[in-house]
Amino acid sequence: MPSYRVNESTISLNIYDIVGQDGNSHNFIVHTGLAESTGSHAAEQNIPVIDMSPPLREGNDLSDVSVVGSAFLTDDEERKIKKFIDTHASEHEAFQQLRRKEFFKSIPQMYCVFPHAEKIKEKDGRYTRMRFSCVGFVFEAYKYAKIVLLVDTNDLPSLNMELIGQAYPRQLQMMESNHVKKEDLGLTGDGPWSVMLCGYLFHALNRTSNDIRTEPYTPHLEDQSFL
Amino acid sequence: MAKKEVKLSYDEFQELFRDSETPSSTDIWEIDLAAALKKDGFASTYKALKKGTIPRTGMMTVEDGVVERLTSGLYEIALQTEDGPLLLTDARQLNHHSADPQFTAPSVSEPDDKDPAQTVGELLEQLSSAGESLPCSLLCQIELTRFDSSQKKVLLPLLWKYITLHRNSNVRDELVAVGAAIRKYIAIMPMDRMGELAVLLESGHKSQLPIELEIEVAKMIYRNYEVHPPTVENPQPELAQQLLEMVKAYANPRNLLRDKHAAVASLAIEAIVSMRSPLAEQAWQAANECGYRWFAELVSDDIDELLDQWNNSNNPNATSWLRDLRNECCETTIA
Repeated sequence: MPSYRVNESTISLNIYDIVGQDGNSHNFIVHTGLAESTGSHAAEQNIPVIDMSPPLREGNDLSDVSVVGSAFLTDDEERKIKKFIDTHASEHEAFQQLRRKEFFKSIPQMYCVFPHAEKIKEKDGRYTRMRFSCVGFVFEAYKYAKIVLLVDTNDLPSLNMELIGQAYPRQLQMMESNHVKKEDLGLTGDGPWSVMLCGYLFHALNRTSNDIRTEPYTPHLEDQSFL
Repeated sequence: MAKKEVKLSYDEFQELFRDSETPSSTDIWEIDLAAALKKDGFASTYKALKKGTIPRTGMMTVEDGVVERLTSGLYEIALQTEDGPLLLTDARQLNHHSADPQFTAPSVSEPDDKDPAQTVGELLEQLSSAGESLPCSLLCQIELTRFDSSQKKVLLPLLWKYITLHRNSNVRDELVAVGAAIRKYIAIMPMDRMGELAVLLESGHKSQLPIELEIEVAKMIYRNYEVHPPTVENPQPELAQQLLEMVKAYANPRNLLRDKHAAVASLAIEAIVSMRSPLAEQAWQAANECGYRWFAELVSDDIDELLDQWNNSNNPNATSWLRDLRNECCETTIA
């Protein structure tokens, strides 16, 4: 199947395959990124990925990869995703130069939970960069290659804060410790919110190659996990 | 003593040793100097300073290591550094934060009680007084900060000076900072002065702008006109000409597959189109004729996106011009 849990000792990846990481709850995927290269890796090894950590990083070594999804990208699709990455990566590279306090203050400028991707605008609407959630970055990269993995954001399941906290545990901790407000991450009002979750991507990829490319997947609430 | 071994992920390991409050090289030099003064007195330190023999703080690259958390709350750390093994005992954790919230959540920190307006003023003051030795992180902060119109007038020449001084740097961090400066400069510059950017793209410069920075320039030109469609055709002919030179260089089939060439070529084409330049058709045809269908599709898709954006703007002339161009160029898109 195009999506699978990592049970073997070796993980074979194609470039820009989607990898996911479990959170504290088993099978509940809390982080995702794109494989940076094609090749086989020992399952216990760190895997080089491009992910929205934050900030967006190329060549990040991701440990404990627990789930993999592949759309078996064509060469043309890979080229388009590469252009998307080249366009946005530099906008986040500068964040790595910030000191700790400045870095945490800047998180709302690089990361959002809802919507999954957003332009950071000057007063007149001009913009210097985009902010993404980890799943939002992956979703938009594929969308740029004309692979729309999920239905419109408005049609995603509505989630309350408790569920969002499970899906974004570090962000929840940051909110609880007053480093960011939920509004800074796009969660305005009392909810619920149609937040995009990492698990949805692996269900979207767990279909035929044709379906992946022709029919955006409509996720269900339980798709936050991938068994 | 009871010990509990802590298995850290690579990222956590790196973060534990990446205290972002680490002083800059200038700070470290001042610390070394102060330490020498305290230890040896003024006369000896002055002599050592003249001879260049002040003991300096050294940096080591950590290759591997293990951390043990003691029940006392302190740490024992065994590191393999490039200079050999190093054992640290009773080490204290200074930084409870990971710079990466995906891996470690921060603890509560002191509230930031600075007045934002004062912070903006301080940023400008630092930028104007720093001369050429500007910390790269300052440019990143500048990019993240919003400025009012009077502050922008002060900021723009300072950013331009930084860009022109450091555009040829061989230091990666400086180039990242120049990229931040370019994005901010173009995002806040008056639209009627966009032509000035042609200087950055001139091929006759003593050293060509690195491709990463060419991406930033072309992308930001496109973004500016995406938001503010030109009210007249061909507002910046010289800039369009420079962009077309880039298209010819990078969309060449012999070069297009090289790293980042497709990004800069497509962004340059889209920037020319967004300027409503008479060169737009020629630029778009370069994409159609390069021999790579994915590249032609990519440019066409991006221009569709531009058309969507302009449809929502209050500039029907620009929308109509782009629709006509699209009809002409799409007829020749590679089948």
